[in-house]
Amino acid sequence: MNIGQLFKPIEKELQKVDDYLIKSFQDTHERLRSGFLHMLKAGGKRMRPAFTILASRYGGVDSESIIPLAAAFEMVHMASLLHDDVIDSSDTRRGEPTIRLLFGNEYSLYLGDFLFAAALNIIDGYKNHEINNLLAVASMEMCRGEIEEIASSHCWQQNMRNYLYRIKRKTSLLIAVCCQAGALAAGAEHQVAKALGRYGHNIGMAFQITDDILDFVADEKMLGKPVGTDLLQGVMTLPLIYVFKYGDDSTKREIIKVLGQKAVSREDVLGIVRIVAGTEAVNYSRGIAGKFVGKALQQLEQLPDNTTTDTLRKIAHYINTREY
Amino acid sequence: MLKQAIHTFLPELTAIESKTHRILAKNAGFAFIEDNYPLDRENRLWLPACCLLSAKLVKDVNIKAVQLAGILHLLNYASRLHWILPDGEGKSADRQKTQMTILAGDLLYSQVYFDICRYGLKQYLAPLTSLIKSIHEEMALMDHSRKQNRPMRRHEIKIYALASGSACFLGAHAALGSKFLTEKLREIGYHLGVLRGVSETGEAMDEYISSWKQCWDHLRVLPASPERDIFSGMLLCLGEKWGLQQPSLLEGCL
Repeated sequence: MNIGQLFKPIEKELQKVDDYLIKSFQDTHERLRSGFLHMLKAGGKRMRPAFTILASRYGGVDSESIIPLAAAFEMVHMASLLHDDVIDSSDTRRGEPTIRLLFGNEYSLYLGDFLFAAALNIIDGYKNHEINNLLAVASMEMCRGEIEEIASSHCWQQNMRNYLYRIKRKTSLLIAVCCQAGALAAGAEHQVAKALGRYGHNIGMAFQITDDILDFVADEKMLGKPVGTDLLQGVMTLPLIYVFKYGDDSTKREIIKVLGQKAVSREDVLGIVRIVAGTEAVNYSRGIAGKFVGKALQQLEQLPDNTTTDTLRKIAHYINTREY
Repeated sequence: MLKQAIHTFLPELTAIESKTHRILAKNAGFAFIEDNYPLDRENRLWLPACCLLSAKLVKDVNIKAVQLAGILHLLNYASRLHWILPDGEGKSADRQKTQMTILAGDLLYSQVYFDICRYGLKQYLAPLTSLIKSIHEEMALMDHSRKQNRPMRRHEIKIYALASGSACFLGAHAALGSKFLTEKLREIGYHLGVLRGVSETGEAMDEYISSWKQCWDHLRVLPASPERDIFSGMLLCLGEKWGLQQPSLLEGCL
């Protein structure tokens, strides 16, 4: 099972989102368009548009009118990836060379800013104050989360609370906004929209924890990027927090010694990946992700029992078991 | 060049500046940004000053105009931070500098959006996002020209022109100016921005002389006011650099 199969019921709409994205760049200068198309063709799960479309099914409008909103959220996500790649000096994403590698850091940054503004322009068309307010708060928090991540890199004394707060800002807020805004744009009841927002938040948390687990255990080819990326950046994720809290002193000393070096080699990182993967950290982290999946499922109980709710339920179950 | 305008709106501009500094201090360590990227005050205040001056010229500086001036200050700061991105590939200290610069810029852009929503200025979301799009399209093209060893100043000049035109338009619109006045001020802002861009980049003036003339033509049709005089003063100050004087009314007819 992969996420594409779960999105089968909205396959046509997701294709329309891609078409809309391509169309929205038609009048842009070729220089900007080529970078954008490269990124678009590299693929991606299109999770944010998918959640927007699925949530809109609880309202009473034609899915066609939700396509621009779903595309706008994908643009916001793409903008954040473009900037992340510069921040992390990443060379590959989704198995393809990153925009910064192909076009340079500056270009990646400018395209990201352009996309963010283009997304807001599209969202403005909905003339919906609530959607704007939700995204405005989320985008501020996303930036704060990123700043916090950089500021706390190589700081080994972090606890789970710091971590959860950080990933909430980094990942789950935008997914929550996609779910809630999709429902609001479709005219769904506020209670339903809020339940969907909470579902999105919990799914986002579970998704990010799983992502952080995969940084230790995934198959690089399937993941589309090298494992141990977070470690290399000095970012403390849940498996590492577990090791620092429950691991033996010699393991902790070894990790700090290796990661504290001026130049950390790929071999060093892979060594630590093996150490962490060999502990209970992965199971523990999966357990935490499972708790968030459980909370997401609880929110679905407040929604009408229909095929969309069923799809959202399947997605929740899948998140915790995904391998890439 | 901005002395007179800064003096006229000193309380508003001081409040705007300190708000931006507070945001950076709270979230991204303003001292870090200040130490690494000192921007002169005139550069920072150019857009807010144009906005307030236009509002005052049309009617008066109302709260909306001040809020928009503050948003323009954030927007200008954000784009400048991304513009001067250091090459952080080398030392780790440089890398952290790059990371913080990018994130501080992102934060300010988000604050622009947040303020638009918070102040109920959503009617200005479309013009402001269009401006951000245009600025970054030009930046990307400028970056490309730089890499190709081609002239890139015209992109920089266009950024100055678009931003200044928008600032004047937004100020005039917020002060409920007539369509005629609002559009005139956009034109004045645009040409003033071209001239400022030419001055900042050191580009040859010959190619842009029409902006000098057009700016005066548009200024002349505005009602006489101290604010119009400030705009004229700004123009004359720019012209001094190229030995240009205010064109006479008959110049175009002869």
